[in-house]
Amino acid sequence: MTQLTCGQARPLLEPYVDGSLDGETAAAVRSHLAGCADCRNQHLEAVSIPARLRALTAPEPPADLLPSVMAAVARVRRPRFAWGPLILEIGLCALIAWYLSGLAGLSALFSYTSGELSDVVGWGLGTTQLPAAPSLDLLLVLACLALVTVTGYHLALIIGATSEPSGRRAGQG
Amino acid sequence: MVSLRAAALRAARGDGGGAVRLPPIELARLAGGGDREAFEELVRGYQRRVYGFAYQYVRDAGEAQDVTQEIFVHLYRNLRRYDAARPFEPWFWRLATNVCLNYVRRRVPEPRELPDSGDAGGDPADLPGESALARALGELDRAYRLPLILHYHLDMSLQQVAQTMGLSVAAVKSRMHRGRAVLRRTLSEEAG
Amino acid sequence: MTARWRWPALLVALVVLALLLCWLDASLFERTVLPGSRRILTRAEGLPRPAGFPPRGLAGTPFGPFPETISGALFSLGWFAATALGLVALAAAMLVAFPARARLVVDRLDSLTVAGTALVAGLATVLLLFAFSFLLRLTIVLLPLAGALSILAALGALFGIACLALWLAGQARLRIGPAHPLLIALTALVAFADLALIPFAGLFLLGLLAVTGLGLTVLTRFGSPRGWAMDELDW
Repeated sequence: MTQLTCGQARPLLEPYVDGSLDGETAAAVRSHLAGCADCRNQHLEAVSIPARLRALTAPEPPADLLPSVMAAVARVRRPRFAWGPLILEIGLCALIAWYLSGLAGLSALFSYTSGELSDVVGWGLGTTQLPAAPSLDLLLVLACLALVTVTGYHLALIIGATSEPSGRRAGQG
Repeated sequence: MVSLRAAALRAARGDGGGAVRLPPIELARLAGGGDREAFEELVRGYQRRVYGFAYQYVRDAGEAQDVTQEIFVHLYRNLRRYDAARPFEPWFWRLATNVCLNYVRRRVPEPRELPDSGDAGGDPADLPGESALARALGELDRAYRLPLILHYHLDMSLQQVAQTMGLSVAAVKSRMHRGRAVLRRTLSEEAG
Repeated sequence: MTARWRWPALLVALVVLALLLCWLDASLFERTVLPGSRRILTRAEGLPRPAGFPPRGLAGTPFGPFPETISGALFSLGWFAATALGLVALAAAMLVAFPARARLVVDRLDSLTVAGTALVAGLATVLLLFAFSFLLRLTIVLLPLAGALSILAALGALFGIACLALWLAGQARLRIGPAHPLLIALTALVAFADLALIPFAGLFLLGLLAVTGLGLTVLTRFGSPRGWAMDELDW
């Protein structure tokens, strides 16, 4: 039979207590325990831990737990309304796309913007002149302002609806 | 059908709210369809075990209430996706375990309160009667703490613990053995 | 197959599928995931097409006779490296750099409703960005801000795609079995790359993923533990 050292026997105490070791290893552990008082004390500790874990108690749940859970659940709402402003956004996009004459106009706007961006960066680096500001198209500006407002409000609605419920402590001063 | 269900729920409340007449799987099915009363019965039936589980994990009464509330809110949100053909308990405790782990993961450590501030959520080591084992369990790595709580405190079988944690039975056994070994060493050092 | 080799085998299979899709994409439609990368590969329209590919504009079988398919395979490998591989590597780098934040985002993604809400939030964010960029254009000097916001949005979308891949990885892990987390995440990212490489539909699917990912990033404030709460700013 293999003679175990304390360092070898102690990690085996838990599976030994559970009866998970094979016959030869269990016999080796048993033989070591017979001759080592320190490891016998460890074995007693290992034997007691499962029962002591089972005996651990928890305080009774507070009386306001159920009402607070139902109140939190009442605040959970399906964000169906999150889809509502999308209709307005699509409408505004359609208006802008129509005003700009469709995809051709949008891609032209994109290429103008890219050109102006590189000119502004060049101006910052001192290599080019500052480009002139584009002409003010009132309808387009108003449509974009409306789109910014609607999308910002829409995002705020969605974020508010999908935030995690605040804990009990969130309301405490 | 509706009157039978309502009568069963009223009967469950009438006996002090302790025993749930409808089985949890039936309550879960009803609550998933939007029945608030069925959900309330489900909470009433599980609140003690869930609170005990949360308390054993976070070792703080105040935080245990927060965790318990989050678990039940997540349950409410996810009941629509629960498949009533499968057992309820493994699904529910997997959800509870994940909520608990996420809560601890995103918890920002709060500044420690002074001992005489009267805060009920103080260091568990300061609470009277708190055993050395409970303290050691609270300090254990969560990978070892969780299977110990599920098996010894909630009386789950090893198979159920493995299902809840998404591990094999052998992996669960290994973690439990290592967790108990750490507890044994900690208790021996404190006693020695 | 032992559990240990399932994930590597799946990854290899997905990479092979990606190469085949690149081949199909390059042969039939001459379109790439990233516009312009084909120019990087061939450098000029005048370069001869590699053997094994049909003439341009001819919609037929992408695979030529056997001896000529070798150069076609190498071409596809280059195509894959120029397109999907870069995105996969960047997304994997995001997961390695911000694992806790990615995990928080995935934990919030507990139902299709959340995914749908994220898609709507992503659409709203994209529209907000376009409209705001146009308004900034009017001031000219603030235009670089629009460029910076666009870059931030692109990074946010990439982070969101990485989180979606992580979610897919978690779901697959329950069915296939455990493995190194990075291997599982990488496999999920390559699966997304395969989706993006599907001819025609791939660009639409990639756009859908990007917008949903951007929405997730915005909703969770880049995986912040407390979301959009401003508690830390409160004295």
